[in-house]
Amino acid sequence: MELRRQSLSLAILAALAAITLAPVGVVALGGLEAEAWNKILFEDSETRQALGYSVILALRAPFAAVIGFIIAWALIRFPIPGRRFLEFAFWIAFMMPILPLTLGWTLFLDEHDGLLNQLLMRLPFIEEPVFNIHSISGIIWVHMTASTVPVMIILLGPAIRQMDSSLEEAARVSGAPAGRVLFDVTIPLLITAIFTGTILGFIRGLEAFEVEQLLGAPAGIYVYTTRVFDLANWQPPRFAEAMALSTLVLVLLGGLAFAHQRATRNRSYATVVGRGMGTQPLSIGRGRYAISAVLFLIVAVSVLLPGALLVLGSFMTLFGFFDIPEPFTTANWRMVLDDQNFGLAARNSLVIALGAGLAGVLIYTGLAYLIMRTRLAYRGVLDFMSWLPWCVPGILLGLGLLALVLYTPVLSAYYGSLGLLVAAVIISQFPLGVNMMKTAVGQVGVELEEAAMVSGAGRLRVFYDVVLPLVRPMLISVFVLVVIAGLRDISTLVLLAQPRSLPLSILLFEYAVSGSKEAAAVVGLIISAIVLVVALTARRLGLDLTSARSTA
Amino acid sequence: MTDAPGSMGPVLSVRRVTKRYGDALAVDDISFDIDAGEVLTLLGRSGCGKSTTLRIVAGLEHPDSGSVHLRGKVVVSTADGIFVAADKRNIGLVFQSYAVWPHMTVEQNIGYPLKIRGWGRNESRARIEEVADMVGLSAFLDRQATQLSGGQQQRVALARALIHEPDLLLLDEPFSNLDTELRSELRFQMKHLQDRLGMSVLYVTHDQIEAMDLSHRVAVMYEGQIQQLGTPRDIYETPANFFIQRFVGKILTFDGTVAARDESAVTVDLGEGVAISLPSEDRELAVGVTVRLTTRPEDVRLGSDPGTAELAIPARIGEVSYLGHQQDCKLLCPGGENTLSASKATELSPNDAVTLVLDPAKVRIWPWRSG
Repeated sequence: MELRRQSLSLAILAALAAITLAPVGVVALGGLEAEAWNKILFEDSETRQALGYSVILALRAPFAAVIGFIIAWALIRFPIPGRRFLEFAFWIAFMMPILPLTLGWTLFLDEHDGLLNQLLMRLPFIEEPVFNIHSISGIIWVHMTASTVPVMIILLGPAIRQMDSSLEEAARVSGAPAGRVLFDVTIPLLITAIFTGTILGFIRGLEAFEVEQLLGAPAGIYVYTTRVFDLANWQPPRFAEAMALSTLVLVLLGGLAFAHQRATRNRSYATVVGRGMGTQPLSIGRGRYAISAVLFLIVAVSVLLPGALLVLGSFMTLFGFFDIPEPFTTANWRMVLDDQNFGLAARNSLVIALGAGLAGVLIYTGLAYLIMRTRLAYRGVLDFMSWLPWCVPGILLGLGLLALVLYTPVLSAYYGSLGLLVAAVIISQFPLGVNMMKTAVGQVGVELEEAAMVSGAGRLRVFYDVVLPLVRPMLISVFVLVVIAGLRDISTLVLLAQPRSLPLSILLFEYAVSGSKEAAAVVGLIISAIVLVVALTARRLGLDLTSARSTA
Repeated sequence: MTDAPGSMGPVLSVRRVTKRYGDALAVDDISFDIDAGEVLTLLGRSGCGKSTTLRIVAGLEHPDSGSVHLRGKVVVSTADGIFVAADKRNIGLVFQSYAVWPHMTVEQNIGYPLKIRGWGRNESRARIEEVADMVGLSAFLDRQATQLSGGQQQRVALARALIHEPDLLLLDEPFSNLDTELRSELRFQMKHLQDRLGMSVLYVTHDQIEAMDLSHRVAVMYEGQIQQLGTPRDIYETPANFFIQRFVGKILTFDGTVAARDESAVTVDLGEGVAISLPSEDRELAVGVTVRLTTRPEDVRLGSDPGTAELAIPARIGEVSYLGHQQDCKLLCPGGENTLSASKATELSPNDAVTLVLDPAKVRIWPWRSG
């Protein structure tokens, strides 16, 4: 019995190692070539520059954390008009894929054809374009508005809600105005949450890819993810350098991830949880209208403006040109929808999203149950391995899988196959899926299982009759999130997809970077619509898609 | 194989069972039997090892050593490497938290053991109705388990534990999450049900009243060991040690030293010039030994004229708490402070001098380490 348990756990361990460690391992080992290191560290100034830009861009995280925190606090703590709509709008921003919004911004802020620049240059005293989206500040702006700040709002909301509002009320009663309360009580109490949010934002910032590719590459601004993409697309591919660069970044990310784990483990803000009194809104009289107005403005600028421009762009004859004879047309829609490639990509996306969703849920749930509820040997190692992809950027995971498939004889048959893309999505969502399912399994009281055992049910029967029905809501949430990830993902899939396995998201990416921005706008709108319909349906069903997604 | 259901021997025998958690000894070499139709209670404070013992019997914990036989069949034997899983033991267990499955209806909860055992739809429906009727849940069968009150959930748990006629029913603090009134009501029902069905029951509780009322025998546990195993009357009337006496019911205590002794009696000096003489043949109670005298409040009365066979101890009244149906008064006595309930008709005011009248046959003498 003991022996059987040992060998079972070793088998599971080996299987998991093969799927999560192998791609990372390939990258790490591939990065051991001394010559490649020499190149990226000393000879290749472009690579060094890319690393520098990566870090500079990721430094937006602390600012986003503070802005996001203040917005979340205002939304939660004040009885402001339109509060529900505002929360919903930020949630939409959080769920939206970023590349379509980036296209919208391009239309507004492009140096030559951007709407804003064109308008400003009509003013008598402005001769030169004022804004240029193909710049460091352009990239930061798009990230801040479309993703980093909304993520922080969603991430920090629960921490603020958990805090006993009487702690703030005590400050109000002591004579502090609302703003003072924020800086004297709320922020000091929740500083750990803000700090962990910052690290998380920094890590995610280092992993970003598609915005940098679309906005940075044309202007010669490379970050390491786009540099890796570039090296891998070289003819012939410069894999050794790509891997050396990846290894370097993985070490950095590993350190950050470790710091994040440590910080969240202590969770000192959990000690300020109230006694179930809930959160009473702070009353601030007329000030709430001002706050409401500011938040509506933020939503209008960060979500509605690029969204509307994207819709506009999809109907333009020439993306960004408003003063040609017939600026608007439906030809883009007809062209895209009639294109065979679009049908194929839509089918591929469906297969990838649903396949990864179904298979992923099975794997995550089984693994979570093994980790939480058995005395299997090496449970801790399993736990660690399932968490590992958390700090592996999509582009590196993709590179690892690509190398693995190219250089392993048996696997090379899967090169460019849909199965490989499904596997990539499953691996990339391992930390999220396993963590959410672990939470769900942990919430099922052990005695509920024991009651079934005592009633005569064997282990599998207990799992099927008691555990599975009770974790079902979480199961569906995980499924929906993996489906959405499968629909949105670009960075993990971009190196793996081949023409016959191309999904919608990569079709969008290719249209966007190859200059077919009108077609890109159409595909971007379609992906956004599908993602939002899926997310909204899940929200209607009462599923919580945000809390785990933002942390894991 | 001694696998003969219905054979005479005990339904459950636990032999020399030990369980450690790290360095802590949760269960320390415990042995006991339960006969057919008998209710045996493990009584003790939280952390005394009673629940762990129950979980070992249920098959939810592995003991470090020892054996358990159920209906003569080995279910645990560490010596032979045998461990029969919980689902193969044919037992019923009512959890402290009830463990009623929130995703099932009352009927599905109760009927689950039958479903596992492959009962047909009609016969299991009939059996479910029978058992639901027994515990008073007939009207609730279609309810979702989450719509039930605590008391109703407890009945669901009980019905689920009974429905497959287990060899042994295990009750793990089944009443502790209910309010006082409901507790006693359900206790009476449980007693009635046990009488009617003649189940063998292992019952775990920290409540001595429930233990007394429901059990044929009580095992008092302390720090992983059984301190005393006997009928409720044995435990209450002739406790094996001071700890058991104090745990099972209320007591008054008086500290003193043995001042003199002869063949059949000792004289104990309680200080303040009060000495009393008690019958005792215990040789260990030599002159100079510190002792603690204990007696039950119901064997004490407040009065002024002790009978010939009685003892009188002078005392002064401290605080008096008026509780409506009675009054509790603090008594400052030689040898210690005590609390005694008195009828509300008695006039009591602080600082009054009173006399405690004791029955010498009901006073127990425990050698006591001073401190």
